[in-house]
Amino acid sequence: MSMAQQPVAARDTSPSANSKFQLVDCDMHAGIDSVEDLMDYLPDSWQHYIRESGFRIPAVAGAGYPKMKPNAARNDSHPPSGRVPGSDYDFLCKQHLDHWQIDRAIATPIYPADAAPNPDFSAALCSAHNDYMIENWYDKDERIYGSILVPYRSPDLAIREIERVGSHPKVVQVFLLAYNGVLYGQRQFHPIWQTAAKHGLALALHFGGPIPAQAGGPPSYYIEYHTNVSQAFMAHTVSLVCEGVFSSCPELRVVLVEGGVSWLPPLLWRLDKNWRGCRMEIPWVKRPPSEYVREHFKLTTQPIEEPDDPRHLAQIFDMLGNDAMLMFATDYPHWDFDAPTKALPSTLPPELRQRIYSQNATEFYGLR
Amino acid sequence: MRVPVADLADVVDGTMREVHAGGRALVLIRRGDEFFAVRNICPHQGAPLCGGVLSGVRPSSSVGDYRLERAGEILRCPWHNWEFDVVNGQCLHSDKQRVAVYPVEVADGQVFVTV
Repeated sequence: MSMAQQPVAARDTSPSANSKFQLVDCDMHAGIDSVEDLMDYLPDSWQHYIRESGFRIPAVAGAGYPKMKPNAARNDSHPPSGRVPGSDYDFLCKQHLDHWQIDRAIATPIYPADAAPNPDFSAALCSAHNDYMIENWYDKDERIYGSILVPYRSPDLAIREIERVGSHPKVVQVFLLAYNGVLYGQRQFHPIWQTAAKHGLALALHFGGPIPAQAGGPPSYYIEYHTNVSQAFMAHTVSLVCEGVFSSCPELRVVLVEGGVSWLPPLLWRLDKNWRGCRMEIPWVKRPPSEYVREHFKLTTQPIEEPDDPRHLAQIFDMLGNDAMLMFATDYPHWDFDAPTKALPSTLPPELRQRIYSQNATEFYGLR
Repeated sequence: MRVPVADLADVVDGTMREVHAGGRALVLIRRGDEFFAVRNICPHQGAPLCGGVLSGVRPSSSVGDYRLERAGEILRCPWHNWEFDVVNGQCLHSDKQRVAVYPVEVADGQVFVTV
């Protein structure tokens, strides 16, 4: 499919966007050290609430599954400042952006402000977090673009937040965790996605969340949790298409972050086949579901699957159906980080490597 | 070849039945005073289409819109629910799939199909 057919929102995502970038990281975990960082960005009433209640974090993703290393982070990513990995700007620049000569990075903060059960507190935390990120990351470094958090369970408050900060030139996506116990295609969320699309923002769904969405039941081990994360991405992909999100929001663009890649082709085969027999149930889905996915979705590469024969990965990439669906990501500073120089098989065609390393993201996000 | 396939009185409005003409098994469909005949083999996996159901099209224009139009003109396969327009044989989900259709006439209390 040519890029000219890509859904284009208000933001310039046309292929005329420059191609001078060599490396774009679509999953860089820059963020806060703790809720203390947010205090100056919160109204007095919520500052008092936090201090008086001892509140720290709304939910700890997969708390029962220790992630192999503290903060799930590379052992070498703990800054000398003592802040948590990914929260020290100078150290992150030195260890990551400068070291790998990354041209542009999409910050993906995973402080789950949207998981606070109190809708007003959640909205306040999201706003504070967004303002913190804009001031301390997105506005601070031309290389860093970013995500915003929204209290998605209260669509009116989520819409208010998107209207407040969604037009910031460095904000490129609304960011949600995949394990939140809901499927994001459901229609109560459509007004949020419509607002995001209006501002040219993508919807980014990322690994993790407070409610592990594992088919068959909760596993015993982190290795299972990590391996099975693709199940949630499958469910969201199917949900977004079948619930008619792209009928309600034809300009919405979706990026699946850290969900794996290789599961997608066979899922689309199954979904297309079932659509042929179940169309009467979802008559607003006019075309084979795979067409919507190929037009509206991107996937980030990390954690890239590593088959014994790298040719098999190239075959999977081919089955995706076009060269525009994959965008490189490192997942810095996490332990399952993909190194820019080693993650993609060297046997991939150079043009495809360039698309994955930078061009697809440059076009998708309208990076400058 | 114009072949008599049924007595008009036996073909009930809103139903379909298997008939034979020129060595082919066909599905004869009646909708009011209109008659249609399609090949009785689904191009997908070979199911006899006469065991399916007659439905319509759903021209949904938005999420939640389940309007049904052209009731009785869409033949849905008894196995995997593939749907075909009985007027032209076109498969509703793919331009590349269709089932053969044949002209039907009524004369002298008889239904004729040309195969």
